[in-house]
Amino acid sequence: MNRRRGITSGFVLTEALVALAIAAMTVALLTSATWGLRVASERRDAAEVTAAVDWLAARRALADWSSGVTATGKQGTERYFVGTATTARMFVEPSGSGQVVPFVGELRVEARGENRFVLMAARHIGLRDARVTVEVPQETEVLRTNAPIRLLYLLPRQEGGVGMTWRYETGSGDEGLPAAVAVEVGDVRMLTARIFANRSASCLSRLGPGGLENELCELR
Amino acid sequence: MKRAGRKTRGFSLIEALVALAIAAIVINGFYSALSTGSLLDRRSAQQAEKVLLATTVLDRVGVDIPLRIGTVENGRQRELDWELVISDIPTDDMQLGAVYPNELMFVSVSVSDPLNISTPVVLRAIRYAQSPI
Repeated sequence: MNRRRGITSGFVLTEALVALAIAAMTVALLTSATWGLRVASERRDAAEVTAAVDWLAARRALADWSSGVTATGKQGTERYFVGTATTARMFVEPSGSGQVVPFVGELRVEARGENRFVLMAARHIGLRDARVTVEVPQETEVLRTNAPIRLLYLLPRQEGGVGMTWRYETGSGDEGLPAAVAVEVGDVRMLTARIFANRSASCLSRLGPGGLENELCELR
Repeated sequence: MKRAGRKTRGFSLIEALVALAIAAIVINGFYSALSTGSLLDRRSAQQAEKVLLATTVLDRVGVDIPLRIGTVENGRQRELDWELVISDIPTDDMQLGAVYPNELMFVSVSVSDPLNISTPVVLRAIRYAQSPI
């Protein structure tokens, strides 16, 4: 009798609590799974464009290259620096105590599908002329954006203008080395790296202190 | 008989409640660890954004922005506010030795998020006065 009464009396409190607990845990699991998927999706979207930390690394690399840019004089700079909106090649003579092998550094913008742009950096080790490249350079992907990337160069104004202006290409090279290189994404300038060298080191070593006043030693 | 009877009795309410409490504590710990990690990740990304903007502005000094004492510029970029101040350095106070007046300049860039009241990022640099390029 007792047992039969127990069966027909429906849920007891313990059973109800356990059922509630299982329901709560199921809801919690579903919620956390949804949240996890959303976070993962956001991360994936974010990973397709370069994060700020990677931009900082790119800035450091660009500044490092531009500080090592050199040429033998103002005339014929195109052998040492050529630049367009999508490609820049520069002869770099590293001055650090580590690797001291000169190379031609190349920055190249590639469009990869719709709204996908990549800035590649390549090193052509052993080359001393920015107009040529090797077939298999050391290259790495530096930046990834969803807006067009363009390279800019700070050069003297053309046709007798005073001062400097930003241009998307270096031109004939008669103006010498640019004073700075910049990377623009969309219409926002993200990175600016100065080229500090304004006298040819090889020219100065050949001519001595007099080279400081010699126009042949000027790089811009 | 007693032993057999105990087996069929199942969980008591106290046991179920204790199990529930333990499960709740474990799940709570798991959630708080996840949310804290996510929050820290977001904060470090925001901080890196500010540092990037500050260095971008700092790099423009002497190129687009004249390196001149008294220059104060500000702007807004990528939803962040920045302010640049170029001032002279009290060389006597800083014990820099033989330095000409106005030879060194103090460049300070502050970046803050107007939507989020957090500590602004301030980058400072000492620059030599030089002829504008």
